[in-house]
Amino acid sequence: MGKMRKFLIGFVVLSSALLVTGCGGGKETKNAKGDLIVTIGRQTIQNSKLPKGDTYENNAYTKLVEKKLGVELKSTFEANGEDYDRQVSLAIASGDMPDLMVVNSYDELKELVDNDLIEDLTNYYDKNASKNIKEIYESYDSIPLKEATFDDKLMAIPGTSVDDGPGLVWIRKDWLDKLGIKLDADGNGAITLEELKATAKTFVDKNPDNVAKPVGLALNYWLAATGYGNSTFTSSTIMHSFGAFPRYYLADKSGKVYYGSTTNETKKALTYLKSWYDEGLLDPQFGTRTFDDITAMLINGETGIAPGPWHLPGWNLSQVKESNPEADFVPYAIENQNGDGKINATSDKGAGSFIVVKKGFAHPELALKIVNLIYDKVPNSDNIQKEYPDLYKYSQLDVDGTARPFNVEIYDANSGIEDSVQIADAVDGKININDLTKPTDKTLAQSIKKVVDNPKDPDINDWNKYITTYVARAKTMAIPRELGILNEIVPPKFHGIKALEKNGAQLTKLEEETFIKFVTGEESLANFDQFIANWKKQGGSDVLKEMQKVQDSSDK
Amino acid sequence: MEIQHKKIKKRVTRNELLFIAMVIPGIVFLLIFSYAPMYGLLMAFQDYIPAKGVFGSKFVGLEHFQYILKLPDIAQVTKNTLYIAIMKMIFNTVLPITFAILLNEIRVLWVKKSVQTIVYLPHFLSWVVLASVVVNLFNLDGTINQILNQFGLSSLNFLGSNQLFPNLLIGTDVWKEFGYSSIVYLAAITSIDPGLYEAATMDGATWIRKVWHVTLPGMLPFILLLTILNVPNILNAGFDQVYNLYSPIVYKSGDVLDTYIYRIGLIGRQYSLGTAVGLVKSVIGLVLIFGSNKFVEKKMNRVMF
Repeated sequence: MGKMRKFLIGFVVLSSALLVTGCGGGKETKNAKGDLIVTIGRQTIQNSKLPKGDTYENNAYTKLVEKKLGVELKSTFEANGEDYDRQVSLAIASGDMPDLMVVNSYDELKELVDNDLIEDLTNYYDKNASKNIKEIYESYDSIPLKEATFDDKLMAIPGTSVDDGPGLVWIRKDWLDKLGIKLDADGNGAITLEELKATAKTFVDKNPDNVAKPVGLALNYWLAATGYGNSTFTSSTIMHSFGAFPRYYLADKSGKVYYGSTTNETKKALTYLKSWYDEGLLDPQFGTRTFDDITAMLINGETGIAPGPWHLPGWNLSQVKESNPEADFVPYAIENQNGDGKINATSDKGAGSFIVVKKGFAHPELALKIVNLIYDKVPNSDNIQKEYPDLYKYSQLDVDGTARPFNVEIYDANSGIEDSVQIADAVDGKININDLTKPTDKTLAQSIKKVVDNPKDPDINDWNKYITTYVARAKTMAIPRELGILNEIVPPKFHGIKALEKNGAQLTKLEEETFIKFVTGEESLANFDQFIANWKKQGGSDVLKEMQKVQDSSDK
Repeated sequence: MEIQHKKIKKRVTRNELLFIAMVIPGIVFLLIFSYAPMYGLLMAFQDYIPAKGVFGSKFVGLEHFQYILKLPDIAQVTKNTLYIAIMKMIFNTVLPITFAILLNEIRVLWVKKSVQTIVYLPHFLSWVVLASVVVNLFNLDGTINQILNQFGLSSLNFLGSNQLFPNLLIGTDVWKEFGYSSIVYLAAITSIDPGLYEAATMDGATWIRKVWHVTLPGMLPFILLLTILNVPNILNAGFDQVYNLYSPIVYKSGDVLDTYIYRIGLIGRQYSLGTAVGLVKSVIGLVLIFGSNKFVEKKMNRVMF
């Protein structure tokens, strides 16, 4: 029996030891070189364009951080797109968070704050943030900082989201040329919905790439989204031209809060989309297509219209061009349906996402030091090519922004379109390229000039910069602004709405399901009022009530 | 038989410790991975906050269970779950049995072996992989519709139709699993005393008679056992499969408890709600397994455990 007992005890001890090692302590760990090892969560992208041999853990950025700050960055998790948010959720749920990570929504940030899981960064920000970084936030009237502040404590370093102007529809330019279609005769950067529809019809009828089943317009099933970058393959831009702003919570002139998806304008926009579906111009498989399906359709030449933000070519349409060098795109905004000649857009200035530091991490200042390095020192260097040759190479190769330790944007509020216009002026010879103040702008202008001077078979990375900065921002997006025909809606900010936390998922489900049925005709649009009633009953009323309180108190 | 039993008993008593030792790893495994995490079930009765953990979060009693009952789609989703799970269970029992009996009749060994191997294979592929195969076969311009078009039939929107989608789920699941499930039944057939077949042949029984009077009764205990073991899964319609194939257009017919709760609970980070649903499912499963065992005991005079 003695032997037996020993065996038993040994077994139990061994198995518990195995269990315990799974959850390590919060001690500082150093690598062989004596550098501090810091864990981070990383958002990745499928086509990162990282040079061969470089990884998310080991690239020019991580090497720079290691060299300048003596810190080795290790990924606790690496995940693509939506999966990243799921990983963040899991990390929060399990209490096993990386030292530094980015959360993409205010709700997640609030949850972290409520649960006391992250460090207060107020003092670190005051002490460590560089002058330039502080100026960037001031250019937004500090809105992003306010969003990251709870009880006067700065709990995260906010990424900024620049005011981006009208949503765009990308159309295959080589097809337009081939079929002799002329768009935007008045040159205001925008086309009408009728023009878009006629183009889709011609694309389907003439089938320029000679595919089995050409599709006029393919859309994601969620149909509309808030936030500029989320507009890819949605009907947001089309909806906006009806004065409909689905998915947005807005306030009317009297200060009454309402939900954009339940308005008469949204009903009109849905009715219009249904007419596309009925005429076979909207993808017959609408509702079942995934994001990747639609990308594949574009690559295969099955569709030539892609709604999306100005940066769509950078990470999506470039794949189309890569597999088919003849493919070329041109972006248009969409004019309002009511004939006022204006273009509706939403302006959602503020925080895009948030860098947070795990509670108990010994060096919270590192978050700011990394931000200073990547978003101030590097872009404001006098000679990037010399000082940061690896990063200069990355900008030439158009390596995706996810390669940075934090996939956030911290840019001046006035950068965006104004910078692009200056770059375009430099490319067009109106000003000297060397007069551009920001060094990154110089490299951009040089790359773009290559394409303008020699448009045949451009380098794909140069083409990306040309089409996004020069064509989309400096022309299509800047022109309506200059002409004063841009009608920007500013949605109020509602944060931490309890009823939305509880019922949000259910409400989204109801909306997605019902809107698909409206468009495909499975359910008559005469039932739109019924949808509104259901929406209210399933928690929508509570959401609006709670938001109204916030709105009323902010008015005073 | 009697003598054999006694022999085993003797050997067990002699080497008692050895046999106990053999069971210990299993028990420890169960304790660590199945029983220890059970304290997490408390989450279902709490407003669970990850940072505070199970022992620090506030208790809210049955609030989450009441909320589940109030969810507007819960009836529809439960109906979908039951339909899909029950149909899967029926076909996943009938088809492998039929297949095993037919396969057993094949006398050419290499044919039998290769057929077996081919039909096993899909079982080892995950739904993540198989879903893309299924989508390519069944979408509007997929292979199946191309074949239908060849015969002058119009295309069917398998993935986007509320009538077809649940049946597609059932069909593809059966296709994936029937080969693998048939292994057990094949083993059951081989354990049937060949003497019975010889006797049946002597009595002039045809092939079908032999299947009816010898093979099926011989397999019955296995069929019952496997069915009872499957009954608790009645609320599991297969998360992986549904999640990888469905879209909002077929929520009405294809959304099952697991996917619904995944969207409402996990994506919205309402952990307590998810746990509450899990607990309800487990309790129903437990009741069902005891119930069906009792039923079999009463009606057929057999006890499984």
